[in-house]
Amino acid sequence: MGDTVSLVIFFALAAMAVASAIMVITGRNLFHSAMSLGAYLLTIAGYYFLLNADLVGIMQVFVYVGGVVVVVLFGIMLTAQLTNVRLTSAMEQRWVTIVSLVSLAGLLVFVAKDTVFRISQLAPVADTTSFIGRMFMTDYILPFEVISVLLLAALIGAVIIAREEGGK
Amino acid sequence: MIPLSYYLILSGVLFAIGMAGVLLRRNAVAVLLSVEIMLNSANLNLVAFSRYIAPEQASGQMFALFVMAIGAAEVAVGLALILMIYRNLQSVNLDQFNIFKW
Repeated sequence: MGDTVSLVIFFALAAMAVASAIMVITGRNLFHSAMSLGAYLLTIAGYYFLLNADLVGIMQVFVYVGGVVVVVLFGIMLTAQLTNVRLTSAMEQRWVTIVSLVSLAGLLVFVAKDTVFRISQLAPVADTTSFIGRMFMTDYILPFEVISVLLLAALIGAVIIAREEGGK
Repeated sequence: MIPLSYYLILSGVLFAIGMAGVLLRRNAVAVLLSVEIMLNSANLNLVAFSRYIAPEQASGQMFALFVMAIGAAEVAVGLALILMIYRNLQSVNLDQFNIFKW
């Protein structure tokens, strides 16, 4: 893929990502916010494919777009009464927030622009699925097991927290 | 090849947008969505560093997968908490979650 093509793809995806992220945080209807979050997650998956991280991109589509967005939609529907109302109590801290976040973004941009990184010229891993699978079972076996226990604990905890009280 | 700094700038901007959502929105579900934006912008950073600094090791991709697992667990627990609070308070407005205050 030529340089120009990937640059065009990069900026198209960047425009979509920024636009959908802004729509997530400004949307008055939470359903629209959740749908924009889905679009945002898909553009991030596009970046993973652009960065030769095939497996991470596929997992992004499976886990986030297929799982997290659906769970969030369930959450919105179960708490539906107040969700369409724009609550105005947030406006007191609006300007402080915007000023501090613009300066945070400016600082990050400044640092990213002026730092010199040691770019490696090696080719990326071609077959990411088998490579990452092997890494999970060898070098990363301990974090892998810990995170499976964490996921199990989180799911059991979620069920217990969300259960109706009274032990039925 | 696209310069690495483009990816860093983009994920910094996306992180700031997500944080604006966390600080400005008062609906708990909307705050959870904004946290997802922040998690994903950090993930983009990890994968970009992995591609440019050490492409033959793919360690950033491993970290990104771990972050995804944490994010999924966070959404499950967070929504369970929001449901429970909604059942008790009939509200998802964060400003009303003040029963721990004295």
